Amino acid sequence: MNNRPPDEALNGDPRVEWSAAERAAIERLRAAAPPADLEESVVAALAGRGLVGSGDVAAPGGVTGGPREPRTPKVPTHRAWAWGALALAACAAAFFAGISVSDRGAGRGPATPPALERYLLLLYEDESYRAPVTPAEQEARVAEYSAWVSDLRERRIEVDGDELAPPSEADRLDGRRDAVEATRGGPTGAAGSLTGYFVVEASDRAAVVAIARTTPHLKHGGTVVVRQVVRH
Amino acid sequence: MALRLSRGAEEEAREIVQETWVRVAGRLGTFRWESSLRTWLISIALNCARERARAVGRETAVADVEAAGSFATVPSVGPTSVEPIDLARAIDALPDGYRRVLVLHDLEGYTHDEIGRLLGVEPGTSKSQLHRARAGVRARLAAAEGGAR
Repeated sequence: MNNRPPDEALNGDPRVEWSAAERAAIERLRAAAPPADLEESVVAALAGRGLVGSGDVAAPGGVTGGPREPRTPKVPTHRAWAWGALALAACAAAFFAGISVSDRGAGRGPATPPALERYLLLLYEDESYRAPVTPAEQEARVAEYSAWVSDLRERRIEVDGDELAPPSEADRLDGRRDAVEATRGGPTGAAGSLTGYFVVEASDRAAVVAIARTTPHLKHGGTVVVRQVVRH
Repeated sequence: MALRLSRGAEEEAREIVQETWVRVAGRLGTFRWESSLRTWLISIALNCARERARAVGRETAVADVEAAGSFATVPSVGPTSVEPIDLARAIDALPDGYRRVLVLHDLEGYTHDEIGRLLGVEPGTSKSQLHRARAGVRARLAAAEGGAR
């Protein structure tokens, strides 16, 4: 389809036949790569609606608190596709690659929305976290995290969260000792100090991990640990 | 395609792609293979784009497009040098109807028969709109080139 001459049936009007320069520009336009995070945001949108099932959504580096691997582009940039075509083709590719899709609309009776679970996204920072320095940077960072929350809410994903005061201001109570006394300073693990959290609703672990991958915290070198809230 | 359908508005394009995926995932069971999967996906993306355009009051009816007038000052010879960003801006400046046809034909590679089925118009309408769309792009590129001199 794309190989046929693009100027079919325009009656040979030279005013509307593309010149070589125009054709070249069209080809370059078609070859424009989509934003690297487009796939992530699409997966998050699907996850938020419970449309991506468990199984083959790869866990990102850093989410489990282990060493983070460099983030690799998940969008095939070697293909000369426009945004939409790439996303749609990737959709089909994902289906055939094994990302399961819910049975909604599959003609097997009324769809039942999956039960949503609550998850904590625990935000850790260590020396690799690129913390804001100036008040303006701090304000911009807060706005960035807030925008992420707003974006999820716009996609009807339940989310809440807060930044925590510095670990140095934490009070620690240790029940392992006979006399429980509060001491100043929180614990610091391999991933650094806990500095914030989000509470997110998602259909399953793969879905929440897909959402966690989009947090700005990872972009700035932080670590996100996902923990499910147990229902009793 | 989403980027051009949204006139270069990246956030809107992102929303179109996301909504397309959501609809595809929700309706996959209704796909009957009466068209190609790609065409089905494109048609959903077009609907999403159309709804977005309506939502922001930007949808242009075909009649309005026709009334927008001819592109009287279209050079018969195209520019010798075109930057993709200038081409993108020229496409983005087209009325919705023209832009859709041009995107489907020249960027996505659909035939006029296929575009007719996708947009619910006659193939002849697709041809005439492509004609006008290209003329509009050419006129705008020429104007930009003249302004740059």
